[in-house]
Amino acid sequence: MPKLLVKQATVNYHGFFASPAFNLFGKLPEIITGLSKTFAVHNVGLGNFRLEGDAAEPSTAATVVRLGRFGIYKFSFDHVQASLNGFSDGDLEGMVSVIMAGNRWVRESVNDFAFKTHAFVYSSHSALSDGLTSSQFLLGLARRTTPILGEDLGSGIVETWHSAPMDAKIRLTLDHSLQERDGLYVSYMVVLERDDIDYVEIALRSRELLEKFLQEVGLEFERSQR
Amino acid sequence: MNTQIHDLSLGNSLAGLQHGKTVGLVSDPFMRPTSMQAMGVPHGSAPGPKVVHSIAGLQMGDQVVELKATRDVQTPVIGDLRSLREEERSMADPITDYAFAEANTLLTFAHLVFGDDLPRTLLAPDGEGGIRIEWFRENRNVRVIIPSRPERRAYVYQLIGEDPRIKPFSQSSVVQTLRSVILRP
Repeated sequence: MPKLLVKQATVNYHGFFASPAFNLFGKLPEIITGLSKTFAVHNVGLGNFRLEGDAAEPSTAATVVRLGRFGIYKFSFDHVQASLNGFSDGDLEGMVSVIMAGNRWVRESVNDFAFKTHAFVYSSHSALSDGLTSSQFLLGLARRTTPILGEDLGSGIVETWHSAPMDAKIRLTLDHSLQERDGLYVSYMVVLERDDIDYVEIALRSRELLEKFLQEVGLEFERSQR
Repeated sequence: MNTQIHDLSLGNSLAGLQHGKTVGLVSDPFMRPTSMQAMGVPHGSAPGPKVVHSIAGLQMGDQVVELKATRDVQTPVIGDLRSLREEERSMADPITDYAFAEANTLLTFAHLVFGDDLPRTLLAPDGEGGIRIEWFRENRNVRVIIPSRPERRAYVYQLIGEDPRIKPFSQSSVVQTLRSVILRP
């Protein structure tokens, strides 16, 4: 089975609030203090913080904490975000713990708080093993009947479905990579429209679902243990 | 030079996740190639880079050097690990540098992930220069065996009641096992 040799990968988590954190408007010291204490185990200092946005547009204002190998955690008044680039399995576990800790602080700090939606988004650009090109791979997939008005280079897949075990909407794209020559681009989104989720369970099930889908289309990730 | 980053637009209706434009990196017109020579900027000349590229740059009066002090905090479990290594130094098979480094890396990582939620960690030598790391909760046990040499395989052992399992070692497998065996209510 051809292997995906990941060259670039990103994981993003977005947690959108049911209503903005009005009680934290203008309370930057409280936000920085709270996030400092939340992530104290990472030896967070003022140098780990970055402030973003335009004071005239509250929706753009954000406090970002850099957490080394575990990426960043970003607090905005209407959502939170965690991001990780070029990671190992261990880094992903750390990212989950960052999300759990950060979101716990948000719940404790914002009046009448609830999440409206959680979204996990994975994207990667990979080469294929054994000299296989993206065209060769995609041309081998089952074809739709839409007409091709030229040389067929192989078309990607976009699938959307509801996962009952996770009660989540899944959207998965598999296509030619525009970053990696002859490589494949994977975009995988898991959306959960409710307040409380089990972050560990969702992260694990999401990973399993992605790997299962890839196996079904005849692909697998190259394994590297750390 | 303008470098375009691939637009990862998802093209869906979920607000906040659509990206309307690509992100470009534009080269700084004042950037100069780095070299081992002094990169100081003469007084009165055009604005130049603010970073110091060599030791000689530290002598330039208009350069600002930023030093970031970091705290090196030793967690109690790392202190226990170091004490264990000292205790075993006079033994026939003292803890090897490899085993110590691997255990140090794992415990530091576990501390970062779990913080104060990390259960009490028990450390012991395995009698062959390696280290045994264990966590207990009621009738549940997670054990990590760090071998004395890299040629030997580390592994993760879990026991729930009378149901034992062994898994290949990795930082993520240890964390997942701790979450599912020790920390799960």
